[in-house]
Amino acid sequence: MSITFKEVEHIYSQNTPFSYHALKGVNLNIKSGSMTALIGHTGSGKSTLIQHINALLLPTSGEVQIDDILITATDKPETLKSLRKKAGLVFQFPEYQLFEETILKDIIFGPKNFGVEEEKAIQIAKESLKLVGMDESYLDKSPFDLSGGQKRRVAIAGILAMNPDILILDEPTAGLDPQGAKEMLTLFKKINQTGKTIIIVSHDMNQVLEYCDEVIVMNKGKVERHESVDDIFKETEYLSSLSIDLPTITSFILQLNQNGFHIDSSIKNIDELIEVIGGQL
Amino acid sequence: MNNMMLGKYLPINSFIHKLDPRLKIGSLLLLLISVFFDAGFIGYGILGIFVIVLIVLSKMKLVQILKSIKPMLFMMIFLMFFNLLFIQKGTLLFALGFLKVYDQALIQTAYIFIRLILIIIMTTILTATTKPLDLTLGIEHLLSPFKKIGFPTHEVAMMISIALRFIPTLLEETQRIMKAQASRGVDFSEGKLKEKIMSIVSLIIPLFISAFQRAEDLANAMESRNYNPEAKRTRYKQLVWKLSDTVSFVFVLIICGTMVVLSFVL
Repeated sequence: MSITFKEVEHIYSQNTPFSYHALKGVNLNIKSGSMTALIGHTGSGKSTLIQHINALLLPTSGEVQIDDILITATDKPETLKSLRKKAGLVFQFPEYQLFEETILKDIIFGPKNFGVEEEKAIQIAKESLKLVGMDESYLDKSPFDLSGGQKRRVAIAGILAMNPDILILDEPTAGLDPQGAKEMLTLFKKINQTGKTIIIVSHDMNQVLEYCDEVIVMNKGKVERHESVDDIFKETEYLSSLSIDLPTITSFILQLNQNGFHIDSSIKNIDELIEVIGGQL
Repeated sequence: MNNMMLGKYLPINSFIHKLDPRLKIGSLLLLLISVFFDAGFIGYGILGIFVIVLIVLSKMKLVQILKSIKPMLFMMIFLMFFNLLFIQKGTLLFALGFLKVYDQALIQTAYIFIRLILIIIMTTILTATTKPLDLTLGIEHLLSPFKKIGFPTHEVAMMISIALRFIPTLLEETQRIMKAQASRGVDFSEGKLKEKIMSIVSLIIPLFISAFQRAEDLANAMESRNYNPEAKRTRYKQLVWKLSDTVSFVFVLIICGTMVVLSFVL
């Protein structure tokens, strides 16, 4: 499930006073089965980029290829529906997309649109709800009686129920408490390990370091870096020029190294770090 | 949705943009009234030229004007069609079975077409050249004489400005929800009637919920800043009536006067 961008440009409201050049010559290849973080400032084009992956937006010029489906400026793919099924997009604050009377009905809404039979869909709904950490007793409740965090889980379950090969998440943990955020990311990692491609828009570098393998950095509509997590956090000067903070642990290691330690800065967890420090003291 | 031209403000720096909103609203009212005086094709010619001058002065592009007419096209054709067939005065031009077209009907239809086009263009010029907040300010000023008879001028102006303020927000929200539901396999453009109804439901319910949520948040925010509609308020932005406004107003009066006089002479 490879995703390829070739010279993709996107201009909003072209030929009006409101015209805005959001993507400038984007070239990109996201490997299938990877867990990629998309980082960059507000307005750098992250949301525009991800909306090209399931053809919600068409490129102004250039082309996007998702497996064997080609998306260009002029021809809307005939296979739009199969593309939407293949690439599940979870927007920021997805709880706003809930509308059904019961949670069950809301979760099976997606699968049914893609032609899954009702009985099968109900089975899938139960599994997806369990996957996001809620039990079956919620199925008959109204989604509007839930707390904000639970609504988010239900909305994400609604996308998971479509069983997409590519899962794209726009700041899925915004507004969640630390525990909820951690559970959510652990879930995405688990889904990633079943072979699905995951793309996460994130502002939290600690999350990026802990859960992702690759990082795409966007700045002013351009893709400036596409590297492995280990490599990107070595470019401290570049990141600070974009005022992107380093993960806490990486920045701690760098401070230690400035004061005479020689620790590998790609260490990701605290236990490993303690062991290394212990070995050197 | 992005192509919605109707009622959208265009940030250009032009002569019309700089005019006083009170003048623009007042002039629009007068011009709208004079459109309905039957001043014959000469009158409409004069008004048409005046409107073209306005378009040039406002630096709007012709495409933008045409875009504002587009959504009304269906209604216009509908109206013209019925006028053409149901007015049975004057001499018979031609008949097609039971459909009879008279010359008076043809003239009346042409009038209606011209009137509608003029009305739409003039209104578009007002909304495209006046910021929504200035528009409200103008309305509030124009309504202020009615304060004496207990008309809640300020409340009405506040309501209008809140409504105007939230149009783009709600449009954005609509687009966001449409995209979210499209990602769940909803097809808003095609499908059977039942699917279409379902897709609209999947849009309307989240939209209402978020609109009510926003209304509550806004009410709380206003209340926590101790908003009181009866309080005496001052304005940061003061409306200043300039010489160019007076001149423009005299010009509008001349045009409207000509229309009225023509309608009685002809």
